[in-house]
Amino acid sequence: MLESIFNLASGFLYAFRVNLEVGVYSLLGGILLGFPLTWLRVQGGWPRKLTEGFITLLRAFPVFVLMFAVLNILTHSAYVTQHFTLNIPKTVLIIALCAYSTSVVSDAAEDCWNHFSKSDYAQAWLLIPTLFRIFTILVMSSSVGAAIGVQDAVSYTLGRMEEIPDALTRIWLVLAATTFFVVFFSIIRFTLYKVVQHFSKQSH
Amino acid sequence: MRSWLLFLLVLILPWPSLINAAGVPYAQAAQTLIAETQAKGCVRPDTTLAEVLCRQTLRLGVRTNYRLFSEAAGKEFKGFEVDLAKLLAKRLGVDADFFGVSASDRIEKLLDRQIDVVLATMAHTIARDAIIHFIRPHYYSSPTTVVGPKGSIIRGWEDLSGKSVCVPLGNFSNIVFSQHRVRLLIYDRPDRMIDALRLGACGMVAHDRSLLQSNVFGPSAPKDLSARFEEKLSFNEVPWGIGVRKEAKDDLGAVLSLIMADLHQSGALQLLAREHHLDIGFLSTKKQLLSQPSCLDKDRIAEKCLSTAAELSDVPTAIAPSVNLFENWLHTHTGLPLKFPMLVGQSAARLFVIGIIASLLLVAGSIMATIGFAFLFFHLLRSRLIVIRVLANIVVQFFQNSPIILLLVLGYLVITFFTIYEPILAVLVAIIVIGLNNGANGGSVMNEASMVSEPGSTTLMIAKDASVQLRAAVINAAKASPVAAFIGAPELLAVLTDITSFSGERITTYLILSVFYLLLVQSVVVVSGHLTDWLKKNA
Repeated sequence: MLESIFNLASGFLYAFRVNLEVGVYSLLGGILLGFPLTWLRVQGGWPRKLTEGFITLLRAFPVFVLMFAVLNILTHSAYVTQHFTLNIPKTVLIIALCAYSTSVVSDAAEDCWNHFSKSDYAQAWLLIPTLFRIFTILVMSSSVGAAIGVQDAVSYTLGRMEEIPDALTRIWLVLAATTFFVVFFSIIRFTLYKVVQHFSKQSH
Repeated sequence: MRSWLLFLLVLILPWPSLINAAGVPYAQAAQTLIAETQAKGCVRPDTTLAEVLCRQTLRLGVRTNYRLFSEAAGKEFKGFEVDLAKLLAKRLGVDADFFGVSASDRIEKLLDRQIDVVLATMAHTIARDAIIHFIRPHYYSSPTTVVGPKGSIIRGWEDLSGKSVCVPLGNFSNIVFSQHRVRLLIYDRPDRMIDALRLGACGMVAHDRSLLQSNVFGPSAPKDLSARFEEKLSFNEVPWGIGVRKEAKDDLGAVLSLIMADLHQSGALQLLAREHHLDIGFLSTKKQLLSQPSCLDKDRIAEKCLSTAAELSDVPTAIAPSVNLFENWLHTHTGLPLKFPMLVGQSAARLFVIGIIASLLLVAGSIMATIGFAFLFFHLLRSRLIVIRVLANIVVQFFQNSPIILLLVLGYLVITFFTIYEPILAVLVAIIVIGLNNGANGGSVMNEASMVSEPGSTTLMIAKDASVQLRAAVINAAKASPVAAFIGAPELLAVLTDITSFSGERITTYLILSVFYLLLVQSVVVVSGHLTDWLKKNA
């Protein structure tokens, strides 16, 4: 009994690594695209209008829908499947999450730029915890990848759940996995709250 | 003496079964037709059979990646269909020339006269009958089979409901899955689908039984897969046929039909199938049937001894002709090969309408649930009783920090614990879960806003102070609504995935889906913006 629980927990934690990995890559993608977009936004004029239109589009696109659309484009493209050895589901999830991260990173970066230009450095540096907050949202959102076969912690839990015939045990298993996420994200949220409080006090 | 008599009897007995009613075997009837055509000479060959005989080559379209049936290894082809093609060419007295074809271009290549015959795992359907001629008797038959992990409990369709199954793109059998509310993941190539099964990206797969038997669960399948997976369910048995152009029906078609009957009757096809480790159930039945003397009527095979084409197409809608005209107009004037399967077939159209209604219901319901739960959580968090405050905090933390997918699955499990799962129940569960997830955020920000608001502020005034975050929660709820597809809610993403799976059309379906949700979310953004402004002015 103890051994099977240990195996289950270690398998879950190993799969959770994929959620973190997806979160990191999606954030990096968001920074790579979001920062240049912010630069265009602060230029004013038509570059700003064009960029804001694009960011509005990214903001309005549900990640889940974008994920399926990208999955179909990517698997349909003979060039991609022949020239790259990709983990298609993971790549698709990262691309879909990048749409979200690009828009929020760009918003946060523009906010930072505005504070920086007013010499409000403490507020400007809030960009760092904001990026970390975006990262946690990305990790949480990465769970939708289970729908296209990404082998993450949620997918692992659902896979083990399918092997259990008893409905009540299934509920307990999913509840346990959910509790892990709740504890993990609660700790991060609390830490971020403290960091933001610290920066805000410095600013005042 | 008695044993000699028995031996003679064994030799004599099979003969009546090999000879037709008129006393002419199938092979002989085929040879007569070939000889008649050859007698006309090669100065001006006027039929496909004459062309083949004069060219001394039969050009065959075969698959390149269908294990055991036809695989390309460099310029060489191997498999059951390849050996059958060689047998046919040998009976015609010509060479076999192979050309690689795929499921999407095999008919096109035949109609373009690049090949004379298609022998490429092609199901004989009524829809295809309208375009090309199928050689009967058929050479194989295979149902669609669902393969899953050993030990998983799949006894019937009710056990598959709500579960994910990887399916091939464009297979009409996929409509049966959507009718039973199975979640579909589409793959455009069988080898990729099997790779996904091996790597765990697919929990279950569905395809032609013959393909899965040779690649996943049969005795000749790779051990790493056959040790883990087994056949769970089979349905929709469809005959496979050799295709020729309609104009070749009475010449090449007639000869191939007689040769096929002879190959069935003589047991040559069974032998070939055994050599390639294929299931011979269908071939045994055919052998028995075609051995009946009444099966050959003059130089044609009697209709009663032949299987009919499978009805696998959607019944057209009233607007189907107009949609087809529009598709053709679009293609002619813009070059875009766009198709609208959701408007052409009745099943697809029904699914499409359900999808739109369910999506609108989900978005509206999720927004209302988000606002409702936000106010509820806010009041619980502000309760005078400490026990309620602590409990409310725990609940809010739980819903704020849970991945939406796990919450949906939890909701699904709890509901199925008490009652039978229905699509409308899936929509309801999704509305509640999305509402709880986003409402927890809303309640939490309202609580924070109340801490800095003036004493005696009303709930509406506090909502005004937290309006920006509340609006964000509402927009997030609208954006999260397609996730409901994960637990079987028949919203637009789920139904368009189903329609794509059996129609094969992807560009239009995902374009419509993207535009629909972009407009829907943008509408929520605009309306919620106006509401926030109103709240700021009036609260």
